[in-house]
Amino acid sequence: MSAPENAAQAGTPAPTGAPPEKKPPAPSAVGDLLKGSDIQVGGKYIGWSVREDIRKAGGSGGLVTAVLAGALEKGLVEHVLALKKSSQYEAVSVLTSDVEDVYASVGSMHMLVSNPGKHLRQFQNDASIALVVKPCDMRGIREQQKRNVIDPDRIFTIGLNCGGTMMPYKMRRVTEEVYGVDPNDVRAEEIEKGKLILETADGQHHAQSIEVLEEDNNGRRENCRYCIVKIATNSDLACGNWGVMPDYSGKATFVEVMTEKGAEFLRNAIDGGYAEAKMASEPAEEARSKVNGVMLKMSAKTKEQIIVPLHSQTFEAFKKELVNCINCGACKTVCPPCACGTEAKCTAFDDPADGYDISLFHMVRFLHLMDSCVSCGQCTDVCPADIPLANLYRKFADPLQEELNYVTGMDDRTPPFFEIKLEEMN
Amino acid sequence: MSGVIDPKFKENVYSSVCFGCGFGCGVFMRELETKAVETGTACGAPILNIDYRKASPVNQGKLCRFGVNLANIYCPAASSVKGKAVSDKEAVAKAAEVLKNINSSEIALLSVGGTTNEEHLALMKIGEKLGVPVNTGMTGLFKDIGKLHAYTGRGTTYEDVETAKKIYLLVDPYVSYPLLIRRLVHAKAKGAEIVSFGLKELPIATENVIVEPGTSLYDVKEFAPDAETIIISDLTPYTHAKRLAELVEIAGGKSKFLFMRPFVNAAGAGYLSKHTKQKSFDDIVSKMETGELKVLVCLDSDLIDICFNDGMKETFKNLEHAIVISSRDTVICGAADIVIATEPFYKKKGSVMNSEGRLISITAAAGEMSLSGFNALSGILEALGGSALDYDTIHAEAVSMLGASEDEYKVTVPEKKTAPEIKKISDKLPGLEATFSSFSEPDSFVSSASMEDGEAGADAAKHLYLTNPFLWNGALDNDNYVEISRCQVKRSALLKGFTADISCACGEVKKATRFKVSQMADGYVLSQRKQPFAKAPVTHVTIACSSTKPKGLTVSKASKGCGLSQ
Repeated sequence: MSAPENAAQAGTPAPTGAPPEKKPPAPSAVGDLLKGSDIQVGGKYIGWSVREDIRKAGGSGGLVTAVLAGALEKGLVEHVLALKKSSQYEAVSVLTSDVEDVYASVGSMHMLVSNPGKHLRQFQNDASIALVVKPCDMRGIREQQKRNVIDPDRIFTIGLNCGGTMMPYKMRRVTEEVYGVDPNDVRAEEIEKGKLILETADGQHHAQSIEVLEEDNNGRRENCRYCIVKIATNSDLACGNWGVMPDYSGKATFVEVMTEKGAEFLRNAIDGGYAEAKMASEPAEEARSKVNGVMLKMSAKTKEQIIVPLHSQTFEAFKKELVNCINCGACKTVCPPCACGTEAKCTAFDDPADGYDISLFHMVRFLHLMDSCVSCGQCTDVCPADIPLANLYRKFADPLQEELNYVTGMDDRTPPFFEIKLEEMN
Repeated sequence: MSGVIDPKFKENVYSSVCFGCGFGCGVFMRELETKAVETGTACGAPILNIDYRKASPVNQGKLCRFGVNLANIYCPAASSVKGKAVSDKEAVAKAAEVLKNINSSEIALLSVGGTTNEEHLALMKIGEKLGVPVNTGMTGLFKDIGKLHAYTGRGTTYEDVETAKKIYLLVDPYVSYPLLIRRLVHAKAKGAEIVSFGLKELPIATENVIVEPGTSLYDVKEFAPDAETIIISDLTPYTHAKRLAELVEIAGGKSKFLFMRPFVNAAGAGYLSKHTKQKSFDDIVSKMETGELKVLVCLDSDLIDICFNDGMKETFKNLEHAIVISSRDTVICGAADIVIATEPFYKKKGSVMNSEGRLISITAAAGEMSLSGFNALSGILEALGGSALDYDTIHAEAVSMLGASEDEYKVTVPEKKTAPEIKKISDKLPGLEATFSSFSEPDSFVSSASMEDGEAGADAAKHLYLTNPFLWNGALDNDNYVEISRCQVKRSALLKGFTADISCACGEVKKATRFKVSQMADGYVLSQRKQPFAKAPVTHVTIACSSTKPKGLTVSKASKGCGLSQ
């Protein structure tokens, strides 16, 4: 076992007599390597895989992979939802009990937009499953848990910090046209300091500013640009590289333990010899909060630019947006909080033989999702008519959720519509 | 535990192509290998789910209603001989025995492009051994227009549509090829002029020109394509040769074409078989009726589903042997003497070519690919005295014949020889009604009785099908209604909230038909699912208000007489 720490970068004092140097950056971690029993709910740690190959492939020390592998091999879960990659631009989540699949799924996934919350549903709580989620995935899962669709006792979630994801096909095109790189040569990608960096097979790094990419609508998905949850504190373990200082840069993961189950899984990884961890330093915690704050500020600004409030839009504008709907129903099937199944209000009131000027299916969904839309953008992703559905849903959801200070999928609070008592309306 | 799924299950995931039409939409098919107590399907299919393949160059993860419901549409076929369940091997042996003992002039092979290039080519090898071609069902068009293949639009990509300055639509993309919509939305946003030529007004169009099916394009002054125009039409078994000839004559030398296809690999099958002397559907069906044809082999081609005339089921009884090689349990399996069941399409090792001319491979993200269909065809060939087929060799041959790149992100078109001179032939081709009324009764591909003149009253109209993936694949959707113009509703004295009785001269009546008022040409009825009164592409019908009042509806004096205010 070997810690990935770089002693010089970690703030080792300079030799006496040496010329004055710039103050070294604060360390990521403090103290010695931790034992499993040191891990507590609410604790913040810096961790990494004990396997060098996984640390290297993982980009952030491979802690997430180590925790998943440990959970599978030690029997804490029966299965893992692992991403099977066919390229840097394509992956599909697959249920597996093979730890090698878990190791093979290591790496960044900004361009691999999956929908694990919906994937989970097909297993009908009949298997214990560990999975990696983005904050919005977890918000969808939490909303389904509130509606008794997903059993929280049957899943274990590792949430990743998320500054945003990108549509894979679009990014293939951007790679070719903007980066001037053959997409088939790309071996890895990472977002760092506002840049999307592509690493090609020859080891070269190619970077473009995300801000510039987004000016040409070539960057993150629209929902990601105004997302209000960047750290998945709604999952069992909230992981990411924000807060990892230069001493461990690229070699470790900052992890916050959110639940007792999260603590159990991290302890298992440490005691089982899959991972190592140290206490996160105060500067590391501050750095993480700072990055989060900057990201949220950017989101708020973008939201003002993107979302036109409901009260300033006409019915005609909605009609125009929905005119090309082909009635495929994909927006409903991918919607993470939607728990209605095939017999739903939106479909019950909708009849393609009707000659209404506007789709009742969408009208019902706009209203129904006011208290549950998690702003993930999956509906927009799959719309075959490229209707900006998530944008339309937010016009309805924002006023309600803001008024009630209700952030969907972040806690166990009862959804507002569940609390409506008819007698109060008189 | 709900007891529905065995916890020790395994998930297979295939990166596949939706078989609903020839658009070529990428889709992930999830298959749960488990001991299912309840599968959710009555037909014994495994637990299937789709997932959205966002990296697909064709559809970027988007799917139409058919694709979204793909997992519910698949039911596995089962091998049988004369209705008795047998092993796949026994069914193959029986099929080979039948083919060995019959004169080649009494055999027809049919593969419309419902399966991979490799299986189609394997069937062609069987055809070569037997001395008969593999028919794709499109020859009726090609034999009239000869060198049409030079103009079938291969290489015009969906991305080209997005950047076109002018687009002529001769299909209804909302119904027939829904994934075209987003391409048109993008084109329109960039300023493209989109002109629709058809019976319905399309919201996506910047101009809608009503063109009736029998109208010559030479008489449509708005049809003036130039070098900046992309013409989007389709090639189906019902495409009218005269209309197609006119398209080529007017626009062939200057405009780009994008011909959509109704079957997943119709383009691939068409290109692989393009130099063979094929029979048309009508030739095949006519020979079935007369008894000249004794054996019909259908490779993932359900002639009964494809045919608008439901008399086709009866026609099958004229065959001595109907041999069906199928990856799904469709209507034709019930009419077959021998069924050779193959693996589901979504896990077939092989490739398909979409309407753009893009070669797309089916691969496994998790799990194993299958070659049972290919091996069954190889087994038949071997039993006929040929050599066993090697998949890699056949795949390489297919790719070479198609002249395509194996990278699905690249559309490669073989180097074009000099485009043939376009000779005007449309004036020599029969008109629409003449074409479809030439079929014999009662069991032909399309029925002529339904072409007879109906009563020429205010309630008379012509019925046309809006073809779509559900219709071609014999699957039902929530489309149990017809579309009629507001004026036709008034003429036929239909009432809002009531239904219509629609009848044809053939005597078939469909009572209590739900109708939708659409922006469309008067005098027409459109439907998306098979109707008993419509056995041809164009059918004369009469429409009357149903006498039965829907429950709970009160008819006021004002609304009697169809004073609709809808």
